[in-house]
Amino acid sequence: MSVQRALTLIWRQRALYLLLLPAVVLTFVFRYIPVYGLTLAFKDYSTTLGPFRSPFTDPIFYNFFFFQDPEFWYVLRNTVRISVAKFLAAWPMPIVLALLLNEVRHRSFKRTIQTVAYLPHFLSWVILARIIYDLLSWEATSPFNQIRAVLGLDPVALMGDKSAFIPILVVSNIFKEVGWGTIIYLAAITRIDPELYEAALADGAGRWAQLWHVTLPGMLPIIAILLVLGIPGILSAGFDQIYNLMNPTIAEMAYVTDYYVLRVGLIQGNYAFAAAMGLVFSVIALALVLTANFISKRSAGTGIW
Amino acid sequence: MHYRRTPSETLFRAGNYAFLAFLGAATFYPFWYLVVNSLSDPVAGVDAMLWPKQFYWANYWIVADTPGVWRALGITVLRVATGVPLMLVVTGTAAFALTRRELLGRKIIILFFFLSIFFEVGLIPYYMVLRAFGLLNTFWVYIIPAGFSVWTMIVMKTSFQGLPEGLTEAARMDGAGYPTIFFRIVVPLSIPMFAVLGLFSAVTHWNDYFTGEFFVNTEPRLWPLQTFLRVSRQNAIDILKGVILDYSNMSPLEEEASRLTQRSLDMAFTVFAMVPILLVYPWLQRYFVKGVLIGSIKE
Repeated sequence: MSVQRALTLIWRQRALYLLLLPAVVLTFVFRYIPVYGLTLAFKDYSTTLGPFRSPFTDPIFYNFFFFQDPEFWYVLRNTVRISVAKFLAAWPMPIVLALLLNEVRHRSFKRTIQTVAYLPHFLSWVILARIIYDLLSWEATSPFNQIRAVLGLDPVALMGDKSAFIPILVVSNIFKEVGWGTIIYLAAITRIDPELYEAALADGAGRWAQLWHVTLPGMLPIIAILLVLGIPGILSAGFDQIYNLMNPTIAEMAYVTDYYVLRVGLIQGNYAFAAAMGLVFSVIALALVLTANFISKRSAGTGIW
Repeated sequence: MHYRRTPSETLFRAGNYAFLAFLGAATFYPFWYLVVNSLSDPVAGVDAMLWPKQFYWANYWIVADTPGVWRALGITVLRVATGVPLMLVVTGTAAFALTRRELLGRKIIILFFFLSIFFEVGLIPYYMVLRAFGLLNTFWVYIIPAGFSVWTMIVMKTSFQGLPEGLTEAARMDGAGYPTIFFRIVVPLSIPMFAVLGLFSAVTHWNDYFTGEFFVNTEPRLWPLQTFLRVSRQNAIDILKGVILDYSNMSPLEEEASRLTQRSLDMAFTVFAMVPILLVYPWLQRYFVKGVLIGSIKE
């Protein structure tokens, strides 16, 4: 194709390019320019010069010396601890709930439970954290402490208890997302061939055997995919949840990667250091995504993309 | 055919129903508790668990009178009303253009979009870009960066490709331009999909406190409701001081009372911020199962 012919074609399709233009501009500005902005991680940031004209540091890896800081390693360990705890506890729940819901024969009952179970997904952590604070507040009149009183226990301030923070994150995460998580599994169940159940019934399989030999195997591919998709999440412990549930008493428990970058960068104003940390976290995250995709392609035959 | 009940199955069914009912109640209760307490007397009704104690409306009147509340609600509504259509148009037109196989350089443009979702560049470079473009502390920071989403575009593109090709080809023969084909033929045929994606985007806009708190931090007048709620929770006492309370010469008992007043006010405020989501929830629920399935596992 000659250059002239290509130009004619492009001119004829100018309306199409015009339709694409806003999306291309937004992607370029908000997704590609920040990539160049990552050079900030190697710069000695000066407010007057700005991120793009500040000079490079000497030595070039100066901003990466946070590797020597024990706090950095604490943050990394804490993040992995929280995200692994949350993931392992939350992952089987929607599967179990989907199986239980699937056994319900009364449609209106099933729909009521589903309606209630999906609701927390749509509310922000700002609101949910507020409610959790009220439920678990230190006052003797809070529901949690009233239940403790019935059991003959003294009131406690659970939100100020360091050892309770991760369990609270784990449980509140399940509360918010378990119902939502069932949707994809329920869809997988409806796609199972009914003939498989008939065949199992003919072989004398009871309800339990049907569940074990037909329903679960039918759900297996999606279970495997979602398990693999959890891998990239190891480095993000869920900023919104933690940020809204944290308080000064247990602040050290809330030091996770996202919050750390935010605090060092936006709150303390050490932009270059924060950018360097962010870069390290991004690189690890990318490696995790590629790993997840590789495993998924190997085991399930389909990658994430 | 599934019906062949043995005693153990009956037992399982009963247990299953009981368990699910318990789970439903446990999920619902936190919200119920919030409503009950926001409608109870702040001091005498503080231990209300199941039903409002000493019914009390005033919390809601005070919330409605708090300076800035309606403004914050207005910002949120404005944000949803402008951000959602913007996103649908920008993303929709791009998705449409990419379905046209005659588009020269289509593969390169698709690659350009796809590559952008591989790396999360992180907060600080993103913040620097917002600053360089003068978006910080303006209303635009709410809607412009959220104006395009690659994931949403993939969903839309898949949906457009499922439309009968004959319709667009016929219009093309009649000499209709691409914009006409998109807005006159493709969009009307895709209304349900736009509704689903629009609702999801609206919920995301409604729930976002982060942009307001960190990217609009010096302009509280531009804070949306969620940011306002978050910050007011931290400084509730200060806000209340301005409204009804003067702490300067209070007895301990009065101080305790004002603390409890603040607590139930916070609750009323939270309900206030939650209600709009509850109002659109029936529509959300009708569409979202479809939404989850077309968008795979989007969020």
